[in-house]
Amino acid sequence: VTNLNDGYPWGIWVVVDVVIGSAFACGGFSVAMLVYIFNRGRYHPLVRPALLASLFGYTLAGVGVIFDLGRWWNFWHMLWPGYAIPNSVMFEVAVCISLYIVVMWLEFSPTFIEKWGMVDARRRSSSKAMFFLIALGTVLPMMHQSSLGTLLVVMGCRSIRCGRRRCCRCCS
Amino acid sequence: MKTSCMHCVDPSCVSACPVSAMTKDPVTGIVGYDPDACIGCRYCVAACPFGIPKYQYDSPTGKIGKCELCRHRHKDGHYSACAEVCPTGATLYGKHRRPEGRSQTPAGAQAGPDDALSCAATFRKRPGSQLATGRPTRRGGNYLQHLWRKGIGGTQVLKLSAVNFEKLGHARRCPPDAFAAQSETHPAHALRRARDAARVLGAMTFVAKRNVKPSR
Repeated sequence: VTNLNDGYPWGIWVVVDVVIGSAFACGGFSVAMLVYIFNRGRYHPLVRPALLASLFGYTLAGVGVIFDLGRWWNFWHMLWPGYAIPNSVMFEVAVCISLYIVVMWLEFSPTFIEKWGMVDARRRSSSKAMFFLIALGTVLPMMHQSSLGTLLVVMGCRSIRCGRRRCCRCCS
Repeated sequence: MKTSCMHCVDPSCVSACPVSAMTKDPVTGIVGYDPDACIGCRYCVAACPFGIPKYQYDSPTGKIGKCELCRHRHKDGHYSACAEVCPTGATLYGKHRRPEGRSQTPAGAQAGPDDALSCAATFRKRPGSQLATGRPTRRGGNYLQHLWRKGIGGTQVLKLSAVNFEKLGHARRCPPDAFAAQSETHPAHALRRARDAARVLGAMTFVAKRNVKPSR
């Protein structure tokens, strides 16, 4: 249907939604690290635009990945207790990315709260919980990047150590 | 050579599957596929060391296709169709002895019992009288038995060949342990990961708490 095959398992839209989308999205992580973890307060005005870019990048990549699935109408099985298999590395990736998207929306929520005029609520909530959301927003991307690399472990000698199938030191 | 699922003792595809669409039957040892659970991520296609599961790219509602040892025919008293129709006995279906690799099965993995159903393929050697018992002959040949006995944690399909497996498109020697055993997040491993993540989160929370200014 999509002219994909095992040799070309990714379409051009994956380049757009994952490679470009996620690349834009790294701004939120790096600026939050810079401002809140390394305490470079003078970059604070950059936080919101970077976070907005991350929000769009990751949300679009997350939604895009659903349609890269062959049987996308079952995507909720990933997070449904009866179906999900926590042993799978792919499960770890799915959980980290979905959590990260939720955390980013929460991190960005003060903007909406301000817009709707609930400044007092924002003042209270931000001082109480925002630092924890920011911490989560730095840890989750670190975790899911490491799980993305772990995806290759199950492929054993066919993954990065050797480009050709069944032809390397451990397999031949 | 006939190429179909080896029904590994510790299958990579089952380890890879995030939604329990790939399962290892604890009784028969058959590695089965459930399209109703599958999300079509094709991680099993990438994970299988034998390149067996294939996705139907040409269908808008594609499924994974793989040998399930005709488990849907068992209840009618049939066995694997490939073995049932084979006129020369080159492909046999039956029980064989416990693969030695089983002892290396990690605790979380489900391996079939000793009498797991299996399909065996022999080439250039007719099994003769052994056909009735369903056991493939192992006399007289200089067979390479690496793959079944200890390759990739052991497989429940046994392949015998008088020709070097490399010439038949198979790996001559596979690493002894299942790749799944390296990749799976075993309980102890998952706990360690969670503990490390919690530590990093704690450190990040401490630093962020110090640096986040009260709102303007």
